[in-house]
Amino acid sequence: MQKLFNVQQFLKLLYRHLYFQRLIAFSLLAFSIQCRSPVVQSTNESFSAGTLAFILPAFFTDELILPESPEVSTREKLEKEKERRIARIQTRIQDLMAAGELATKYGFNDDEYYSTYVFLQTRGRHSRAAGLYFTRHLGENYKIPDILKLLKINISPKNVNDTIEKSVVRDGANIKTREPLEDIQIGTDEKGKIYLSDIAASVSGEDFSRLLSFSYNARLGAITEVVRGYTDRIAHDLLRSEMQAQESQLFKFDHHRASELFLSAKFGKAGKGVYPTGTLELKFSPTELYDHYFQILPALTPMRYVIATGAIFKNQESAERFASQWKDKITLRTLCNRAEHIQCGLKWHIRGYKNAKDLAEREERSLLDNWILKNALESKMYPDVQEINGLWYTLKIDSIQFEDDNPTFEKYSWAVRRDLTMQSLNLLLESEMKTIKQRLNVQFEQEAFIRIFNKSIIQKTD
Amino acid sequence: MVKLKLYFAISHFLKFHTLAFVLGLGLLLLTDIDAYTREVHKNLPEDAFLFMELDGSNQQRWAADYMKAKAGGRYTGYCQQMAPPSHPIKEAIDYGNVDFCVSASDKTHYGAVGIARVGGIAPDLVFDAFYDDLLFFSWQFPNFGLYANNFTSIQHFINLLTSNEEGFPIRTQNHNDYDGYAYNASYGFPSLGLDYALAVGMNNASMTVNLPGCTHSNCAERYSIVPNGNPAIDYRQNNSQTPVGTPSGDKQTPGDGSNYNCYSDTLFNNCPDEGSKVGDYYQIPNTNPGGGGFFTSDQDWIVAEPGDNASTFYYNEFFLEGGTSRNDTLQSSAVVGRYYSIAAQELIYLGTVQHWTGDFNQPTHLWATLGYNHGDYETFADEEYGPRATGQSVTNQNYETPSLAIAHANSRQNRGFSYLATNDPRGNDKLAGIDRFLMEQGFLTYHLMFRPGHNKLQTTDKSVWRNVLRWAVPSAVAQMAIIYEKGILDLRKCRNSSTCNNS
Repeated sequence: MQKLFNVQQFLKLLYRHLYFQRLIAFSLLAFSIQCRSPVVQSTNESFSAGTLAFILPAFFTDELILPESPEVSTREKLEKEKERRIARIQTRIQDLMAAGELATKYGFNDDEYYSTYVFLQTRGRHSRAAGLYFTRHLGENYKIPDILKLLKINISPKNVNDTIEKSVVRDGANIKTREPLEDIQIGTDEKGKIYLSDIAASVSGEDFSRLLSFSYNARLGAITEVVRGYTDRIAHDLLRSEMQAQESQLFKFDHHRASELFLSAKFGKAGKGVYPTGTLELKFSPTELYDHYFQILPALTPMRYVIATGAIFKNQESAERFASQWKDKITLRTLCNRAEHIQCGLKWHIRGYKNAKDLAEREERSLLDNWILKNALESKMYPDVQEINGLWYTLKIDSIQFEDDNPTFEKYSWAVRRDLTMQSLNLLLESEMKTIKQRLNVQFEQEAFIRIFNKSIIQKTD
Repeated sequence: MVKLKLYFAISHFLKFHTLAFVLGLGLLLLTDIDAYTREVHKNLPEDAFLFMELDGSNQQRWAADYMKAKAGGRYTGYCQQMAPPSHPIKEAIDYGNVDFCVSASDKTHYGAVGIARVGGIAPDLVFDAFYDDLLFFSWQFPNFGLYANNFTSIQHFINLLTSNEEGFPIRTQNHNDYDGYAYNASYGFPSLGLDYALAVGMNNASMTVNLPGCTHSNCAERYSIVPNGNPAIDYRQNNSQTPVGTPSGDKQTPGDGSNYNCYSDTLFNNCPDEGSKVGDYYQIPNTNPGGGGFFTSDQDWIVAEPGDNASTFYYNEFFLEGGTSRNDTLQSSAVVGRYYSIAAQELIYLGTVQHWTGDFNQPTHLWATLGYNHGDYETFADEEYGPRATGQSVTNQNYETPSLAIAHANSRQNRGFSYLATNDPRGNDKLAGIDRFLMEQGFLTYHLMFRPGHNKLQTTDKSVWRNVLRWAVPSAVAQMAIIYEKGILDLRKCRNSSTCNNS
């Protein structure tokens, strides 16, 4: 009886065990499917739940930290704040996807620096993910020995350096190792041996070849960085598989981020060193250039001063009547004697803008100055009447003195073309991005997105 | 006093709102410094190399031969790449797997000349200066929608100004014989302009970031020419006294008195160190570290290390020493024998010096400002001299006139200066002295602006810009040839320990 009971109990336990195992297996499968199902979908690509769960903490950290501030003091406010942040993240993802697509259209994938810049982004991704992984397992403060222990990697930068030192040989202009990198063992991990080629893949080939040529001391520092790059990659891969993020999707994300750098240079929005490429060249007709020349002439050669004469009136009607007669060549003296005015025959000598493009400078000048200068810049000899501080002014521009007495299109043709190019590129980029966004039609699985966002939130602890 | 402080507070508040205009005007203003000088920075070292071979002295020809021997040829042999692909993600889709050396459009990344060309642009393309700008902690203004600029370029100035555009005295030489860029000592200071816009954008930017130990996630994209690059420390050369406080591995908390080097303090209360005034403006930084009040601003700012200091780092510590000591002095013992052992890939460090040499032929790197046609002139130079063909004579493209370069070379005071160490004016006899060459160049370029028809700061007249370029290209070619010559001579001087001295 006892035996039978035991058998029954055993069978029950077995059943339960198998049941739970199946349950777990089904759950895992469901989780896996869920992680792989797209949360962000465009006509061209998609991000799975796992990929998004990976990207959010790695690239949107600031958006995930919810501070204890008045803005989020109540539940309702907190939800509003979350909505705002989710909207910002989604906009950013849309922008990135569009940038990636647009850059491809403008030849980014075939650019000579493509692989370099995507490599830097990929390496950055590894490093960001590793930071998350290590913080999760080791806390805020950790050092390389802690990392190696966590990952069960047995590598000593010093021993690697010693190994390289023994192996380095010169081959003509180059420095290389005597044996192939794949044959030089420099450590072990759970899976077996680690070779120099494994850690070399963590830095660019150029950096690695230069590292070989360094003196012993310099190389030690460099190897420490290479080993850290290797551990970053391992930790990244662990986190990626933990979250079921998909490498191909993450790589696209690298492409998109590098694309922004490429585009900012291509469309003239970047200064030095952002991406080594030139701006797009646009062709303009001579008429377009010449028209633009007149439009920006005051910005090309600063206006020294403007001399204008005019009168002040109580009301618009008097001012307009005066202005109209003045235009009809009735002399100012006659008009001043004839019309009702507050002041007449006034003469203004106005200093020009130092830089007509600098709107901030206008803010510092009086309304009257700005009005006179505006009309001078637009070459309006008899401008429309204007109300300033409750009074009505009428005006005639008598003379304008430019810094350059004899400005010509030929002199400033480069600056004119450049200015028009920049303006046009801004418009072109705006329109291109709009079109591509429409075409990509990025859709978010809102419920899943919010769930992943909520799970990723970093609670402020201090 | 309180009223005065309040006045400052209000005036800065207004200034901030004015900034909205400046930033609103962002596209208009900021794209003005758009500059892609990659072609000029590649062409100049190449032309210097060709000058050494074809028009230089016997010694220069020999130095060029040495470099060719090391690199395996002029345009053949070792291929120098910035960061070629060794992408570890094999399964990644759509990966181009481009071989940079093969695909480089100009096909000139091979051999000694290839190294020269790549080295010429290298300092612009690193992500090694991290600032806490208005939006993010990053190596650049990262917002694609608005504008992007690599902060590393802030280290490419030598400020030779004594007054601003209005004639207002500005105080430089605060931490170096000649400082680098500082907003409070720029040509446009204190006017609202590009220098001001950038100063505001980078408000409270901490310079003292310990980059190799940076724990902030945005540091993940960092990229230096040398391993563990750390400009906050590395570029403190030539007896620099620039205070760095305690370099942090993250953004620094404002107001703790430790961030000696805020980029600027154009907004409220972020840079607590108090400076001293020249005229009505704070121009001497850090006279009271940790000091400063709530209602006052504009008390502190970054004085970036000058370009000759950055050059000295790459020249002394990596080109000559091979990274042995990596401090602010040259250990001549570490140079011994490297004449024989130096590898092709290490020539890049001499090549990077040529970037700053090129910069010091551009007047606004000495008349320190980001505005005043700084970027537009550089773009103009790139468009004109950029597509030049070697050995040809095309109007408005081939600016590299050999006869002028010879004249420039012959006129350089430091041409025959080949000591390994200089007698530093402050009695410090420990430097390899590359800064001496760069300073001479800097002063010549600075004075060019006083020559009629050469003041390119104040005009967009292309004939004036061409005048400047006609002067600058042969001048740079000559200076670079002299620097190459010096580099190889310094190595040769230390071919063995008995000759590695100043006798």
